[in-house]
Amino acid sequence: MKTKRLLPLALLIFILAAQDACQDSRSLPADEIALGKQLFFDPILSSTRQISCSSCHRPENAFADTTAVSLGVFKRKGKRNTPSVMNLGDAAFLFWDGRVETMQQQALIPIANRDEMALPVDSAVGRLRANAFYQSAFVRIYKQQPSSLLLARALAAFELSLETGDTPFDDWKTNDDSSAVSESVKRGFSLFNGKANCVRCHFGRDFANTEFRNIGLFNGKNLSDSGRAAITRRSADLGKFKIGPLRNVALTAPYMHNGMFKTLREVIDYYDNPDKFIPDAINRDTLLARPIGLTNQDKQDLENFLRSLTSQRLALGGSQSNQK
Amino acid sequence: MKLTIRLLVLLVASFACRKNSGETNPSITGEWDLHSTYNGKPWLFTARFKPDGVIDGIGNGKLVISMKYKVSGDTIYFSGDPSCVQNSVGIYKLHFFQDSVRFDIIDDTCSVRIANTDKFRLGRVASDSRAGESR
Ligand code: HEC
Ligand code: HEC
Repeated sequence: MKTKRLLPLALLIFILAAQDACQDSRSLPADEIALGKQLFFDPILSSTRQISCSSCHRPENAFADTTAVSLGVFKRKGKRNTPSVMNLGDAAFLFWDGRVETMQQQALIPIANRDEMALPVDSAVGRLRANAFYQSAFVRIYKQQPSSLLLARALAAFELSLETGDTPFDDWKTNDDSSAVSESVKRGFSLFNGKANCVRCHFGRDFANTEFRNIGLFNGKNLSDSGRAAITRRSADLGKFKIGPLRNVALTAPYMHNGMFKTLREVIDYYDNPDKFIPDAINRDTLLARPIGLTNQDKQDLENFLRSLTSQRLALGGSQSNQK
Repeated sequence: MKLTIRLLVLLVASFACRKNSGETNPSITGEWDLHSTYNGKPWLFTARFKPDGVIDGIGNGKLVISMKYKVSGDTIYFSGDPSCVQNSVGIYKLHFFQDSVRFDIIDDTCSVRIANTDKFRLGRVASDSRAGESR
């Protein structure tokens, strides 16, 4: 009688234990992209074991965050808005001020950053070496023990795999299917390239740029992030920021280095008439010297164009897949 | 009399020319491409000259540039390049070969466009292979 009752429990324990053992071996990553993905989502890289890269770079938001600034360990507030880490294959600089140039250089910085993951990189590597799963995974993929270099390589490989080209816009332009987008999107694209002048700064495969520009979000008072100037120590660079990709921008609100605009409409309203928002901007780009004079319809068209840059896979919630 | 002859000669010549141009002047409309490498990786650039005067340039599956063009005889006029000052027009001579086309500068002041266009040669994407691929 007693043993009969214990049997299901024993069975359950056995199944759970077996599952655990199988799970580790089953999910051993096949390549460095898969390893990087595992690391990206693993809080093991933070001092409190509570924050992973994906806490701020949220897959459902194209790997950006939904708040103006993100919270790191011990709910410490960051200073800038968390950008998407997708479609950065052509990026010449990373971070809003472009202080690093490659994904590998970038990857270890948030781990050690006191406001983000707050774990010395050596300790992070120590944790990976002491972890049977990562131990086998690194040896399997790199034939070497975990090291800071390989950690950076794996994270970078995963991030560089996050390309999206499966958008209605790409169906229209790349696949030459003129029914893939609405007439409003087409008008929006024309405005983007014409009257609204956006293409002067946002262009190429991802509507990004390797230059830094000042769109007027610096006045030295309440808007005090000097951006690129703090890196180059040139006053001409005051208030200049990186021009990141606009792909998936409909999923990455709020916007700008400080997350000050909550919607795409606010962004477009700003570009239409910057002085209405920030009359005392310092060093604002001459391209934004005068109001554009967009009509309501123009603004809607521009917004619809920006929305057409959303990956269909992401829109359907299939965010974690890293297939190209 | 002299005038009539002259007119006649002109008329015949112009007919001959028209026939000639119809046969040997291929059209730029359609798809052209170039396989090369960029930063050590394969780079496929496709230029789609659309009948409505738009050129879409696609690099490895994503639109790189969208501009306007106009053809008159053997001359092509490019405009709307975001790297050039507004309303700037680049004028190039079209040289058609068996399966390719080359652009030679006639007049352009936009250095970025000159660097991307002058002596640039694109291969014709076989139209039937495209038709075969199409969904
Ligand atoms: C606490 C939130 C937070 C965490 C955790 C975090 N990031 Fe970030 N990330 C940010 C912020 C904020 C920025 C922008 C900072 C700046 O520009 O100064 C950023 C920028 C980046 C960029 C540059 C993107 C661009 O377009 O320039 C990359 C790449 C990146 N992070 C990758 C990672 C990786 C990899 C991890 C994990 C090892 C990680 N992040 C963890 C908040 C976070
Ligand atoms: C003078 C160059 C310039 C022009 C013109 C320009 N942009 Fe920008 N754009 C930038 C820069 C620089 C940033 C980042 C600014 C910052 O964070 O301070 C940016 C940021 C953005 C963002 C927010 C991206 C994010 O991830 O937060 C959007 C959306 C955007 N631009 C859309 C547009 C549209 C639409 C137009 C045309 C109406 C336009 N831009 C014209 C330079 C420009």
